Amino acid sequence: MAELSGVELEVFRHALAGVAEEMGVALRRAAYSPNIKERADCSAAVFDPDGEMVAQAEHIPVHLGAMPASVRAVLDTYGALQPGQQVCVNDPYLGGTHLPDLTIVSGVFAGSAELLGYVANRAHHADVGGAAPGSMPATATDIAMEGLRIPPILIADADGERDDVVRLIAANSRTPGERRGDLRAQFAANHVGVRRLREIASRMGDARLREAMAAVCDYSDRRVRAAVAKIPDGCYRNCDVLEIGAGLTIRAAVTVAGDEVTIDFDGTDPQVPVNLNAVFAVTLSSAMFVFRMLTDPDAPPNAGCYRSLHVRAPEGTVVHATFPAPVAAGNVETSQRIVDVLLGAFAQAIPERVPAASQGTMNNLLIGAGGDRPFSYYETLGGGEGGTPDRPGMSGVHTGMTNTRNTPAEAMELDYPLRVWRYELRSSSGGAGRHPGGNGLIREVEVLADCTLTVQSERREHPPWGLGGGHPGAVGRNILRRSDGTEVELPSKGTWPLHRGDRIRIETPGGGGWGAPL
Amino acid sequence: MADPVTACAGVDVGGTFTDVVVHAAGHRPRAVKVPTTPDNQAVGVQRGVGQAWPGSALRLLPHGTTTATNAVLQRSLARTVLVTTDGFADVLAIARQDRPALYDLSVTRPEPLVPHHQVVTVVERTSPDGEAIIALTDEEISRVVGAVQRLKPESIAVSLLFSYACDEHERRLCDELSRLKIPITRSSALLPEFREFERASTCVLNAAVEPVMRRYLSNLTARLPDPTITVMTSSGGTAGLDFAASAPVHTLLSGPAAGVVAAGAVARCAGFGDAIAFDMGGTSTDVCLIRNGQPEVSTSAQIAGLPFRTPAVGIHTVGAGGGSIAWVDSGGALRVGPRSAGADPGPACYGLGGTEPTVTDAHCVLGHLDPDRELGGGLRLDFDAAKRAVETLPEPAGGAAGILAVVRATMARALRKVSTERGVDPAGLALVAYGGAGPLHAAALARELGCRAVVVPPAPGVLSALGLLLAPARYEASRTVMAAADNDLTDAWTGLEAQARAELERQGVAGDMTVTRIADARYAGQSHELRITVSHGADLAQLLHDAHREAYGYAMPDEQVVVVTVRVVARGEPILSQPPSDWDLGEPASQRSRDIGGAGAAQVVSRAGLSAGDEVSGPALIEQSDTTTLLASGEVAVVDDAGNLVVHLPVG
Repeated sequence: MAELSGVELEVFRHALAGVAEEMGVALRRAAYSPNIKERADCSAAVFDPDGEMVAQAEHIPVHLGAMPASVRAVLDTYGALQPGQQVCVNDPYLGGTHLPDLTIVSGVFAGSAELLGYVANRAHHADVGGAAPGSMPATATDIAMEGLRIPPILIADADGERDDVVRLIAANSRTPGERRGDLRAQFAANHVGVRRLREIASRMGDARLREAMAAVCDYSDRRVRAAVAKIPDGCYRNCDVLEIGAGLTIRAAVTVAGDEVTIDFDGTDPQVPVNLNAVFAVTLSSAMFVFRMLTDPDAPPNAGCYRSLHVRAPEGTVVHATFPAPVAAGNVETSQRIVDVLLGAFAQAIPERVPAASQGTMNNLLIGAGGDRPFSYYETLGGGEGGTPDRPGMSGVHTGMTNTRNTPAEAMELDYPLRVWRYELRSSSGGAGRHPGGNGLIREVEVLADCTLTVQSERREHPPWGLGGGHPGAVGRNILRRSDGTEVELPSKGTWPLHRGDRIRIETPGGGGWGAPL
Repeated sequence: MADPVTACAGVDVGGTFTDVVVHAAGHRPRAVKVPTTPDNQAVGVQRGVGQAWPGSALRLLPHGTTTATNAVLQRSLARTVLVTTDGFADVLAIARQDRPALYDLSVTRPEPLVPHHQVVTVVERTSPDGEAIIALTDEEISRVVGAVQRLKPESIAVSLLFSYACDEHERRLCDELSRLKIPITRSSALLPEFREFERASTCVLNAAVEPVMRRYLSNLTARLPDPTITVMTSSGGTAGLDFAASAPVHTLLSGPAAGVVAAGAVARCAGFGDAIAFDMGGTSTDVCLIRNGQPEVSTSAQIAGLPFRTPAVGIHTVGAGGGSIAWVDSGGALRVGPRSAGADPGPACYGLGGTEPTVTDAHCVLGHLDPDRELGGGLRLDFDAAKRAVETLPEPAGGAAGILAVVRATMARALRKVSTERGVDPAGLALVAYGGAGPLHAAALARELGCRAVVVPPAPGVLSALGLLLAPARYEASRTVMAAADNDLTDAWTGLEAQARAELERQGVAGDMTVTRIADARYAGQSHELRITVSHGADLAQLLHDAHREAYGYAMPDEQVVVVTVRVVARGEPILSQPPSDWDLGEPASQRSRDIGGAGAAQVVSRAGLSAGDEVSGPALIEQSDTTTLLASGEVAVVDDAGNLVVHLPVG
């Protein structure tokens, strides 16, 4: 195979990255729902004919490992796609993450029906049915309660998009019009990707494109291995807990040998009939996140970045859930804990590179009502970032596996019967340290109508830890103040009825401190 | 001899040079470059104007200034206090809660311009409907005024929750605060639009640069008392001195805005309505989409990570230019930038001690630049130094041609961001190239993107100064209304129209004014608005359906349409309706030829010797004092009637 010169590599890398980025932009522009448009809860990627990822537009870390897994599941089901075919999938057990994330995969063909590769994009749909609006019911005991599960299914063929499939998906949502709009945006995004990849192929030739795709992956692999080689060999073990019942333990052994890393989650607790279970794709994404952060965050994002990373997780555990475990919060909460476990393990190897634990939760806050004035507000709240070896942690910020933006108070009060009384940093919540952890934040919201509250949070009992003598950050708190003035502290997760005039105050965790305080 | 008082001077203050272009009836345009005087830009302005138009009076002096921009970038700002609603003291620190880089721990958020201890909170509350939920008492006002006074601010920003819906609390507070005789920025006056963080951020940026800008402008008027001075705003229009002094946040993109206005005019007069402005300088490159001869204007932008909401030309900047340094990374790829040799030591070929290979050095090695060209101060380009620098790269890296290929890839991606990513097909676009390095790269880039043409204006080195003469006076008034599309908005429109007209009149705009109504609208439940132009009596809902279909490929006619913000843009007549064609480009040098990198001999043509209708066939280098245009074999440049070099490219 012909080698690519340093120049060709750099030029081709820009071109491929441009394809993925342009897909992501098209998706966000055309999307109907705020979750995709404003919060950018979506991803786009390009794959070679074997399903290896060659470029990705990076928005949400939790989609990192899940995109390739979705494409793999599609190819395992259908074999190589034919011209015109597009496949939709959200099945968490087949490369999905949780049910609201729908992925659509398209084949890209040169004029001669020669397969050039695949493009795929994933978007978080606001509702795909299930027991509660938003399709993340805290009460789910199995996946059927979380909404519509879609194994790989043809959503377009040689005759075009299949309206029967689109109708089926829309009919299973509380907001069918929105689903159609968002699906249309996903089709549009793949359309852009197909066109751009074809253009590149026509410029450089099909065979050369194939070589170049392999070469950029090799290139990322080289860069990442160069960084891994600097990590001292050894086996580094760590564990941490999820706050449910007596605690669910996640264990990991990180083995560094030369320029390869193996992560084994052996010893992690079995899956539970609660939605904290993470499917393997989520676990893989979390491992990839930590690996990327600590090796070469700037290497072009493709399969090559992870060739030197091997992840094993025993089936049937909370980090490799199998049917019929509910999984909605595995994506948003368990993923964060996996990050902490792995950072703690790497800290033993490269203490000078690893930050202290960040808030370790997304503080999912859902307030909604049915009846004649239905509404559904969903948001995740930032908190304290752990202090890093180089600087203090940031305050009131999203860390780890998400990076969605907040909803302005002035937008919230316009759109929902809610009033925001406080949205400030939570002083002194960051752990002390040479580089202190960032502060969490406080969101206090009054409900102006009777409604239902769901909170899904972590780090309410076990604080984000410090490193190298740094102190832990403060645990988070969820406080309900009834309209009569009585206050109760709520547990980390659950669903409660609220009455007009009640206030919920979420105090998010601070980050751990790095280094002993001076 | 024309009446000298009809002369107007466009003055653009850049990082290195202050450029002046004088337009006077009966005269050819005159251009002058003098060094910028960073400590007080007014000194350089006065000097430049004096050289360009000595001894005579000027009528108008439209001005592009980086005073506000530099103040923010260098954080030499007024000590500012933010006054905001109780419970929201950290509105600036929390921002939108996202982090700037997903994986890279070294990237952090910028420090807020106002630290926590300089925030004063007020017990008061207004509802989204503009009702007072918690009344603002006189006692509270006195307490707040005292608290502000104790902080000894140089400037005050007042941004209360929902003040866009009802400004009464902000007004009463500001009335009392004005006793302190400290500049005040009131959010409901500056930006009566919803989203508290963006409004507060804009308001604080404004307050922090206000004293700096006011000082500069009074300096300038003291030195240049005669002409009416106007200031370029980020929107691509000029504003009066009072406006610029009290709302300097509108001038944060003053410099680049003038350039893209001129690029738009150049494109239009060369027969291309749609174009991309491509300004490649020493350390960075600005690109901007132009539709129908006008730069695209958006409603927000940011500076050093700090967002602000004002009308702003949609410039995309990449950190690569002629001074960007090439290197080979750990994976063996050749990279260019983001490090730059800057002005000191500059590229190796400047002979000032630079040893690392830059883009400009690559051009030297390939013979694209004139070895006899003077750099100023008697210095000439040091080609040996350039060659040595490029040779420090390992052999397989690709050498000088490799460096240019990599830069081209970076630039192509930037150009796609403002074209294909916005759904605009490059096949319909011309590339207007300026800045020292733009015309060297333009033709190759245009071919790669599939653009239809390249246009190089006659005086690309002073395009921003020219843009000031081509820019209209512009004022935009806006108000968030949050109303269903079938609501009667007549009062809101007419109120804003009166406000916009009055503001332009106050700025001394005489003659014809164009007034445009714009609505930011969306479907109920969406969170992003589309900006749509509204003609009188038009069906707003239908306009949104059409705009949505155009932008996103589909419409949702059954959904409710919400008008979020109504805007009125008033424009006056620019000084020049089109770019001048009768530049004096000096004496042409004799025709020569030079070997260029592997491609054999290229003819070297002096731009000064070309006139309308002349053709130059590549391989060729067309040289002028401030730039060089590179044509590859098969490319043909034609000089049009306006003096532009136009390279038509095959499309498809």
